[in-house]
Amino acid sequence: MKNEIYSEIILDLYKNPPNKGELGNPEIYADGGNPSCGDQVKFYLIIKNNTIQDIKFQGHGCAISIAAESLLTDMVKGKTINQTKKITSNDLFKELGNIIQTRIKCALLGYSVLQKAIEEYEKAGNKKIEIKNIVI
Amino acid sequence: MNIEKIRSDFPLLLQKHNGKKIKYLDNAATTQKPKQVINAIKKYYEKYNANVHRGINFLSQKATEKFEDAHEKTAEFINAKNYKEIIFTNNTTEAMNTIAYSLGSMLKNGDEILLTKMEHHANIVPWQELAKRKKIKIRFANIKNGKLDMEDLKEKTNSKTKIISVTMASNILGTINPVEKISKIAKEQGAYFVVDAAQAAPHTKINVKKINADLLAFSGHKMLGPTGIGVLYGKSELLEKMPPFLTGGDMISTVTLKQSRWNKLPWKFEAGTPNIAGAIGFDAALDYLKKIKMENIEAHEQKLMNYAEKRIKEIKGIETYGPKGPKTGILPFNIKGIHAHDVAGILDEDAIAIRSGNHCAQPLMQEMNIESLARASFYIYNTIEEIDSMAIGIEKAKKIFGI
Repeated sequence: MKNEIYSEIILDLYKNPPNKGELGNPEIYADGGNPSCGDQVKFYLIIKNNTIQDIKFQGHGCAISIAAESLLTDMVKGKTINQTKKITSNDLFKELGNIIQTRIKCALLGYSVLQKAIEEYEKAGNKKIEIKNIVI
Repeated sequence: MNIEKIRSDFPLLLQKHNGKKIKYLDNAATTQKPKQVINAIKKYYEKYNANVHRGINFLSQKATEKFEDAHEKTAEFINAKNYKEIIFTNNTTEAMNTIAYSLGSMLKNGDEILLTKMEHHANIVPWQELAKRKKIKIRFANIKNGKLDMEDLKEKTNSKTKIISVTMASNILGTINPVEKISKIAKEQGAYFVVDAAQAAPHTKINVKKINADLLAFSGHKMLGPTGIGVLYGKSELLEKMPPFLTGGDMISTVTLKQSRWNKLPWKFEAGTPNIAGAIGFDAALDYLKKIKMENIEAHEQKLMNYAEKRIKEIKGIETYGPKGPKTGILPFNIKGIHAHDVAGILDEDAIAIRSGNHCAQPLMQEMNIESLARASFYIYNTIEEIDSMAIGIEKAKKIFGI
């Protein structure tokens, strides 16, 4: 059954999300969420030579948030920290497809947590970091 | 009860969204407003807008009279002694903060407060804040099969318990708590009994004398009134003893540069220019409810709930929550494999409004071990057809997600 909001891309990513899982001893661990809706996400990043070598995520939330988080991890894998910082929300929507206004915050939950985590990582002098409870 | 006639009083329900009739099933969040309420507010602003308790001009006199009448009518509605026992607040949350601050200031180090695990954040967080200022202990009575575990509540009550504060009806499960019994338990220990009636007052007749509540709070907007008007009821003897929460304008009798004396009840607790339009709108909402009669509202919701529970259970993969037996018009559910936000999102496409998420009661969600919940909640204008539309919408969600 076709649906405007729940495109095939979103449903496929939701049902079989690439990069879902955890990584041991990550360079960056970050978790956060939107307390008003209850959606949460955790990111695990392995970084070598300023490049994201591997990334995994664990998400609890709606299909749009999970799909966007999974897609985002694919987009940043292999990218440098600088390249990751330059990824805009529009870049994400180009891949994910159009999202209706009321669900944009769902789609951007993972994006906001990850960007905040990268920012904190740089502030900490690119040293191993654990950031908990980022509120979006 | 003539539902079609009732519906014709609600301008919002007569609109269409994307060419579809609006099916509003999120009444535990807030209810729609009848034109009688909207018109009362309009009339106030157009005909006699003025500040209250100030000046002798005719406008201020009329506004003051209507504002005070709203207190009197609220007192009658919940069987309080008189208007002195009715304080208008912004909402239940503000009323609960007033209670926790003001009644809380009368506690001593080592005292205990007993709450339950099914409370809305409004009846948890203000007490936690109090516990930062004073050495008091907060305890929580358990839940068993969607109901309050009364044995556990009794066990957790002791001579140190100074306040028992419970919700009269759960905003997630719809559970109606036996407040009269809890009140007796509190009184036996000499504890104050506080009731959060936000989810009860819209659906059932509240009788503060019968409950024997010391303090009780609810919101106008969940019972056809405007937003920004809530009620804090208190026994006048207790309110006399309690210090004010907010201070400044209107709540004083005399002010010198050194000290101030408090105004009479209830104004001692209504600092600053109040929500006059809100009070007048709420007054009209009470008239509307009285005309329909609370027992008819309860019966209508029960009819809808009986149908909805049966209808929704026909859907494969559905999980419902809450106790067996009497409940308010709240139907919490989940569908295996679909997140509650997605269910709400797909229903929204067909102009069906429900709530999804953690419903401002995170401890209860943790207790039930669920992340998210879809919630349909009914009121006087809802119909069997709307429940059918919701069931069809849920089936559609299952198809989209291939379940």
